[in-house]
Amino acid sequence: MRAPELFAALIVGAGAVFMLGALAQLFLLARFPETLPVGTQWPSRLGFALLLGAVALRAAAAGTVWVPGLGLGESLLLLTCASAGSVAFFESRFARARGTLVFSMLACAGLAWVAYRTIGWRGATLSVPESASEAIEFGSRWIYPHVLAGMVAYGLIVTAAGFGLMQLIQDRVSSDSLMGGATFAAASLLTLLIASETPSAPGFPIRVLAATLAVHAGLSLFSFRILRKLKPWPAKFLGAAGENLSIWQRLIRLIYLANGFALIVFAFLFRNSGPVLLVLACAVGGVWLVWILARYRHLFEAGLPAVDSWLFDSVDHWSLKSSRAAVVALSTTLITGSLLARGTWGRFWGWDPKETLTLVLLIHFLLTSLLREQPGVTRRQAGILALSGLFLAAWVYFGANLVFPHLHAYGSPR
Amino acid sequence: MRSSRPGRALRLYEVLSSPRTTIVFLAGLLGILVLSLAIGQEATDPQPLSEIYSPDVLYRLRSLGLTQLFESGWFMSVAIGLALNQLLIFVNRFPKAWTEARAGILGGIEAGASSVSVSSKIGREEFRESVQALGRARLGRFTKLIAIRDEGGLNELLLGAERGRIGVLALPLALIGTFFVATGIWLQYRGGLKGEIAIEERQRTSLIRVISGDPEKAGRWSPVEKAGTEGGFSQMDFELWFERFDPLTGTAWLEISRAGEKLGTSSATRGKPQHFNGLSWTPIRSHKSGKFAARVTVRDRRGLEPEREIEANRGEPLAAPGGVFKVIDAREQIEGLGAAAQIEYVENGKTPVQFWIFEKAPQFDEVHRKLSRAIFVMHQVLPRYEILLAVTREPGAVWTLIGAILWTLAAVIGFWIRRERWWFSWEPERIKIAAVRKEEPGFGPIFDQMTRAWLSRLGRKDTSLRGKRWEVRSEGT
Repeated sequence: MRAPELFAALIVGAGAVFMLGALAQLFLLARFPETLPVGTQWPSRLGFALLLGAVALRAAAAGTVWVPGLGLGESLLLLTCASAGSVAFFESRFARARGTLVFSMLACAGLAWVAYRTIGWRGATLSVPESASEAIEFGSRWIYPHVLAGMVAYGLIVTAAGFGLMQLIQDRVSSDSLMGGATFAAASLLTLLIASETPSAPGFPIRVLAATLAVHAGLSLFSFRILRKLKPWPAKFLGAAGENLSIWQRLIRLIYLANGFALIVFAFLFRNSGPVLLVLACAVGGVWLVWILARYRHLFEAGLPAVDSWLFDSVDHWSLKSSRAAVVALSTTLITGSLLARGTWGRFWGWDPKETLTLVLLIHFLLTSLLREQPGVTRRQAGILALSGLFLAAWVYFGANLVFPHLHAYGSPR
Repeated sequence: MRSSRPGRALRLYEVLSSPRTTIVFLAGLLGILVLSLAIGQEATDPQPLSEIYSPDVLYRLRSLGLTQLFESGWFMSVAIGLALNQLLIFVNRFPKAWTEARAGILGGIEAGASSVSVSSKIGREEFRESVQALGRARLGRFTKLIAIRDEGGLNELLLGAERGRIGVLALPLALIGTFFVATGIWLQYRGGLKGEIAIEERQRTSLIRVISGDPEKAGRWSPVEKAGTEGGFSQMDFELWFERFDPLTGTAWLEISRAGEKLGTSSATRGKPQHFNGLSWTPIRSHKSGKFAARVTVRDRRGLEPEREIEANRGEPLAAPGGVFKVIDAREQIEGLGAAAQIEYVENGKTPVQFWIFEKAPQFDEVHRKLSRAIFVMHQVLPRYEILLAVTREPGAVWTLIGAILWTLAAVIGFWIRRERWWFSWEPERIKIAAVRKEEPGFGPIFDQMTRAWLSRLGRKDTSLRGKRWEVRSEGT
């Protein structure tokens, strides 16, 4: 097998391992709720090793002029690898807490898939950079610690969000609220992506997609949040029919789910239209995953160890630890980044939008860490903070590329 | 009314020295950053706000102090508030925190501690040894067991230990970091300068575009004689000559002179900026300017003049045997012929002639223009580059960087090294373990793990803690 094929196979293999690992965990939770899992941490370790192999292969192909994270494909690969490493680390420290990182594992599988689709089986962009001048652009060797720290930070954010989701599920947040929130996060991000970058594939029905997405977001708002808060409203306007709220709610949810299904089909039909659609597919998949996790939360609850509130405390503990680790990693990213900028752009800090947004992300996680220590902050609020951190990170990583002109190469198509 | 004043002052002090106030200030900082991004001030090369907003909107933004957010009262209030808050937290807590720990242990099991009490018939000394062994194995080297109550016989034996005392260093480190960052910001404000010079290879310039900083405040290091010259450019008090550029390594050779006197030369490369006259010079962008030179050899057919190799700029008239010539066009590469140049040659008393010469056909000119006195041989086309040179002076950068490193260190210590207090109590029929770690969710599993390890060390087969752990409600229980 030639290097490009091996490279692609490693990424696909890692994605498959993560997917199977997550499914195996769910199965074990459902089938053997009373038994503590054995060896469930190995899929994440294996997946991480495979991705590390892919990164090493790419670095070897590029030689001394390797600029890590240059372009969308490679930055996606590095993000997947960092997330996998973070999941593997926390799983090894947290083996007794069953199923806690299923969400993060599935996110890794999704990321690996997107990375593979972006890079392609033939690994056309395996040899980077394309010209010597690109390597000269990042003449400073600080690029390596900077990218490493940044990727570790993003990996920790993905894991923190996994813990945050578990906190919400454990705290019995309704599946409707979870799904509504997740849909909003995904829809707003995707609307921006679609508005900013029209896929180049011929015949791509961008307006249809945008309309479908808008309907999806609107319905989620209407059916899951507003309708619940404004109970007298339908009765007032709809007369006798409005009194039976559940019928209306069910009807709207049915349309909502059908619409979501249409989005998935849409994403599948236009899967070759570029990274935007791949991100769309993953986001929609992620929303559905949240719903499934929330709907079948009893699997997690059934699998709790017998000690009272042990797992609850542990999820809180590791959620906080991952947020704090993200603070330190983001600080390191900014410090090494300023040293890199000194050599490359002649100044330590230049208010580049990605620099500023990373600072925003750092302050967000610093606030999260400080807030968690205040008495009276609930598990639910902690979970929301961790998940909003992931949403913000997605903006910094992908969204900012489309809105602001900037100097950073990661996360943007070249 | 008089009596309420000290109360108000105390209340203000309490508010300002509270970690909750830190959260408020950090949220304010976050808001300012997001606001500045939304307004459009945060960009590598920001577009002037007057081009983005109408005069009315700009007037409103300006009157609210939103056009120069980082020099506005908003930002300064938040920054000063944050620094004051950290200082007051330090004043309020640090001396107490340093000495309180031991007193806390000596005072007995604290309210809020997790505690497990089990029946046991082990002896007093065996108990003491097991706690010491647990301490060595699990509590780490910062721990020292203290006998709080030890009256011998069948009286209670209460041992105490603490760990993570070094965690109290986080606050002073953060404070020192704040001092460094504040000093850095002040130095930067006083003498910082950021500018750009666009210059072509083999050209001279004395113009700089000042992006930020006041050249007059930058003192003797300032390259600028007077700011605010037309077209957004300022006049430097020295001249810069761009000798040549190597596209393979990204290196630019520069020469600086003042009033015709050469002050120095340096080669600046991306990643390795040069320092000259208190300023850093970094080539941040390079591209071909569209101009070029051709390296050609000129020979005299009659052999009266020596053969010369010349680097001829496009359009530049140069002497040639029996006349003058200039390069009027060139191609970097023609398939099969290599580099090529179009020459215009004027032999004395004759009409000008134009012709091409090729790198891979060195005899071409000699063969095709047999009547000409000068013969030209093509070697290479040298494209001229234009570079954008970042010229900066950042006197506060190192201070700010050290401050940021100290902050990160403080975060590592503060987040990971948390002060814990442990108590181990023995009575003839009952043993007890209790511990507290304040302001830390998720301490339960650590306590359970330690308790199980201890119970198993004592030889108990049942280490389940179900229904045994509770929170101590009042001191001394």
